[in-house]
Amino acid sequence: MNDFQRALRAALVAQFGADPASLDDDTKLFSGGLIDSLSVMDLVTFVERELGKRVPPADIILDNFDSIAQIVAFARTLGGARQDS
Amino acid sequence: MTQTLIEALRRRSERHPKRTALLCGERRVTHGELLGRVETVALHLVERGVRPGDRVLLDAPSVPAFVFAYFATHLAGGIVVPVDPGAPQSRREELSRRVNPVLALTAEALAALEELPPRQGGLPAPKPDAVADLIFTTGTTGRPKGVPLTHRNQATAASHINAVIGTREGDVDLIPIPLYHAFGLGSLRCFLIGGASVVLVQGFRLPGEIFTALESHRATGLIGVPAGFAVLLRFEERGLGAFAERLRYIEIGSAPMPLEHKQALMRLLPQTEIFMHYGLTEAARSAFIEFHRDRDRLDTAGRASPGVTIEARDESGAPCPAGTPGMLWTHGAHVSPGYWDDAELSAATFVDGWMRTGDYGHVDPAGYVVLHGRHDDLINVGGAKVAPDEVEQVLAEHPAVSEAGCVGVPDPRGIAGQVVRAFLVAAADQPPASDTELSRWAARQLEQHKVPSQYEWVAALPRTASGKLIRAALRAQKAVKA
Repeated sequence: MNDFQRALRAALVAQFGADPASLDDDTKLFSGGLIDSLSVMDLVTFVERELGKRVPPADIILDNFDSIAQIVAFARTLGGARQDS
Repeated sequence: MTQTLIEALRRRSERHPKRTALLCGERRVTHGELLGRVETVALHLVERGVRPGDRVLLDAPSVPAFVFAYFATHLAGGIVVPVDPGAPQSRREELSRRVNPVLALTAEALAALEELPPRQGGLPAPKPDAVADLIFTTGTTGRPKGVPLTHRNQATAASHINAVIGTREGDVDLIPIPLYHAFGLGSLRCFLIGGASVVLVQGFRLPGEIFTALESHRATGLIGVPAGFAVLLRFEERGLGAFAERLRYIEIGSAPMPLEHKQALMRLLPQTEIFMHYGLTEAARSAFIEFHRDRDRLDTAGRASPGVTIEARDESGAPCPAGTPGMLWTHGAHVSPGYWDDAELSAATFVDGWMRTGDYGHVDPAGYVVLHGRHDDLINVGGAKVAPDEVEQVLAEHPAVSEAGCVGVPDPRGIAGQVVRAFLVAAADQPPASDTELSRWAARQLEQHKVPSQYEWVAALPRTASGKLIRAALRAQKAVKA
């Protein structure tokens, strides 16, 4: 698990109220109802801050943001400060 | 004027069979194909026993087959009862008990309808005063109100709305609101009979889906609720602003929108007509405002739609002088004939073709409607109504809770308009429950938008001498601190 993944997981627990016991890399965040879709921008802001990159608006889709694994994979396509450490 | 939408669809299919009616992902459905599927499915429904006046539950996501089944039910003489496919089973069972459907069309059933071999039609169009849809909307007590809308209600409203918005052939309109929602379904009807192509997407789930659909379909129109636009606005120029040259109009409805969001939309979309409607399921789109034209009246709901009258009336039901606040009443051919299975509520709400809206406000001398608020305790979360009683009942069933009172408070994120705040009295001799535990408990029995996002434990809830909860005191944070 890299720094970005660790920070993401911690934020999902602390900021978004995810239950650490049941949160794994494939837990469905939006389609599973864990995060209200209206809060997506808070998650996007977190990703942008951590990576130091802007997320193109058209990339904010379920395929990229519906689980930790998907967000991490998407982050790799963006590049950025923390995701390779 | 057209008295039913089926007749309008038939005319459009005869005149322009090759034009695009629906777009969904990679799929394109022409008006000719749309009518062909509607006629085929209607004959199938009749064979499956659907008779005039029978109820058909439409319990499915926004796919083309939803549209086929919707109009096919009308053509078969049936009444469509749209159901949120994400609704809890208990809600579905309650609806079934109340409407006694002959058929429930789920996503699986719709997939099977796609496989039916084409058949020639010939069924007569429904009668204008027959009920077309029965829409269930949240009531103040938590028992949903069944709102019947006739074919005439719908055809009249669609024609008036299209006159305001100016829907025309060649438009490509994006409907990200689910079709089981009255706003989504109403827009579908308007756009199809207005000759626009309708793009179906699966809700305002994530904004990238909206931006991608706007781009790939070269959409000229977009509808949405204020909460959805609040999310899109956060991308500023690189979001909606990127479509400023192409978007001819947007339509907003279902909840109030903060002034700063209205102004932000005007700044990002200076050439786009930005319409916002005021209405109710029982009297859809009773008034409209266009932000640029009425830039000095953004504090109002605009003026009554064509063919619609709105009056403020006093407690006796007599019209108030211009500018004097009262209960808002609305009149027109768009008004529902009265509630399903609730004669008492119907008698209190519908009088001589007028509807008592439950909203307070005034109409100024220039005809602008200014809303002051609701007379009841309904909470509006991003355009979805929440009856506090229903949430309170679920929370009070938690072992750690003896009493619960819920109110709407401003969403601290500035997105959903309101969120649900719960005031709780602890049950004696029980371990306390965390906010997360309470939210999980509520989410097991309620739709997501009804789950409180804020909790406060109090020693007692404010009640009248007869024991009635005083929610106004909760709103004013006057609960006694624990």
